[in-house]
Amino acid sequence: MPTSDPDGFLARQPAAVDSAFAVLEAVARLGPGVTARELTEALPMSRASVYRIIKHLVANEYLVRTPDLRGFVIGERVRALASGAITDLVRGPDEHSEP
Amino acid sequence: MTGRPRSTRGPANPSGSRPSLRFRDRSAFDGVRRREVGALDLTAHSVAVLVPSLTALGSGLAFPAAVGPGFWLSTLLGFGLVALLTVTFNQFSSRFTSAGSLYTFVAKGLGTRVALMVGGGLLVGYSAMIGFGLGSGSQRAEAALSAGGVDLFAGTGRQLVLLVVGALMCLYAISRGIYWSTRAALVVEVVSLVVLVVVLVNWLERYGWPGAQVLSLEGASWSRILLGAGSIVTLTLAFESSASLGLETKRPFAEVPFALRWSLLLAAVLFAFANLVATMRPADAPSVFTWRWFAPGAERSTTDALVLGVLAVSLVALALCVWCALARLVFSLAREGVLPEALGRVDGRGIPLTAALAVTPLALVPTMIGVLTEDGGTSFGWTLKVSTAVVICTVYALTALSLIFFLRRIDEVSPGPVLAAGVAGAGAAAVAVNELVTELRAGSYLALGLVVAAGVLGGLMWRGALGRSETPDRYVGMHEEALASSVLLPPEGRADRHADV
Repeated sequence: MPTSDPDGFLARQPAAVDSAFAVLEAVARLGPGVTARELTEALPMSRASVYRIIKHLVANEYLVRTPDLRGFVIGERVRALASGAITDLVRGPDEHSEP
Repeated sequence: MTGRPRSTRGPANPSGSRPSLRFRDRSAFDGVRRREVGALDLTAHSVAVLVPSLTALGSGLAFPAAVGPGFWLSTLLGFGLVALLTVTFNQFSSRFTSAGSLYTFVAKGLGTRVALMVGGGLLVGYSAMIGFGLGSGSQRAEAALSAGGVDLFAGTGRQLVLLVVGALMCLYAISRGIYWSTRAALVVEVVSLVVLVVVLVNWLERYGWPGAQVLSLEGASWSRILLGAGSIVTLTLAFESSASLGLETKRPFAEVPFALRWSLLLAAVLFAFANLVATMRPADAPSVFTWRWFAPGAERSTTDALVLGVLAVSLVALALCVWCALARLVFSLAREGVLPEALGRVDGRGIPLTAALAVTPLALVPTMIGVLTEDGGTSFGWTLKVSTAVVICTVYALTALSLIFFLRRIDEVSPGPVLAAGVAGAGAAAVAVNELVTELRAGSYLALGLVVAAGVLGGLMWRGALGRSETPDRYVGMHEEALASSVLLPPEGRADRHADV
């Protein structure tokens, strides 16, 4: 059931986004080098869905394959996302405001 | 040349154990300029290799008459088979990036020896495709001059000069870098596709629109339909060559599959459109291979000269794109230690120029000899392309077979890709065998010679590979591995769960 906040934002999230985050979180939880099979066993999704999401995350560099191509590691793009947020926190909101 | 592997422990590829976390500090393909080519340029590369304007205005227009009733089914089956090959190749190209394309793919599934045989096949096949582009391009350019009434130095001598001019144009574009080469291909293809559409619309106005009766299967011959489908596969040879630009692509895992898929779709739609347009043409009209689309039967025609000129440049663009791919294949083999190290060098702008120059004799000499010895209307370039189909389709079949073993090795087997690879591999093998048998029955040994040449080259490279040590840093079938700096790893000692034991 979709809900909305006072600004009218629909809180219903597309299932694909949920699934992508679930895969990312599973890779983080299971550790670097986790395989596609281990991910399918750990997640409540079909094997085809997991493979499709992995492919998309790899194409966008959120996930990276290990050198032997069998496993997955969190990619640089996640770190860039996090470090961007951390930099913003350190700078504080004032630095974003127009002079 | 390559970086020292960093982190954890164990060999790089221990089958059956936990995945290795040995990430490199530097790429094995260090020096190559990265993230140069976007999706549009890469697609232009693939389109240029498919030369849809040439295939539509030649085979596409002649196809309904050649196959007879059911020609559309033949077109569907032929492009369907190539689409399955695309699905197969994209299974590899969405998982790793390499400069060696198909031979690297095969190395991951069928091992070093078969990979080097495939490498030999690609060296021969891509060289022949460059020869086809330059040879047929010079032939179209010569015909354009004749159709335009320019008779100065007409004949074989002029065609040879045009061939050399085409080769020099390719080398100039290659020396400017991959962005420039693919952008040149994009411009050429846009012009060429506009010309194709103008010709087809002109035919529709002249001969009228086809009705639903052209789709009737009454009187259709299954053998002709299947042979027609096979001939379509031979029109798409080397369409996968854009995969060899993966290192230089901005987002290779997404853009290489995109380029293969959409270029094929574009070529298929235009080919089918040409088929339908051609059904309305009178049976007694002059052959489309007289190259007079606007003025059938006329000796001189300025508009047809312009079309021929555009087709000539399109064929040079085909040669350019396959040349770029061949240079990267040689570069990759050299970085792996299979070919001399000098061929693995890049210039100051990150271009594998030495490899590109080194393959020039392979691409030019057979075609020049062919032009000098060809007999009147027969084109050596076309003969070379048809014979090359045997080599390249064999390579496709092996690559398709390799996918099954590769997916098993990385434990990512799923029914769809395996089924696609099985059908595509069997289809490609059937096309190779059919072309070889047809040629041998006709008394031609060119295809057999090319197969033998590919085998000899592969064997020589295998011998060369035996003479050097295989290490995690250097092995046959290297791909672009993620660098240690591009992944998030826990501090050393905490990665025990997935470290090699």
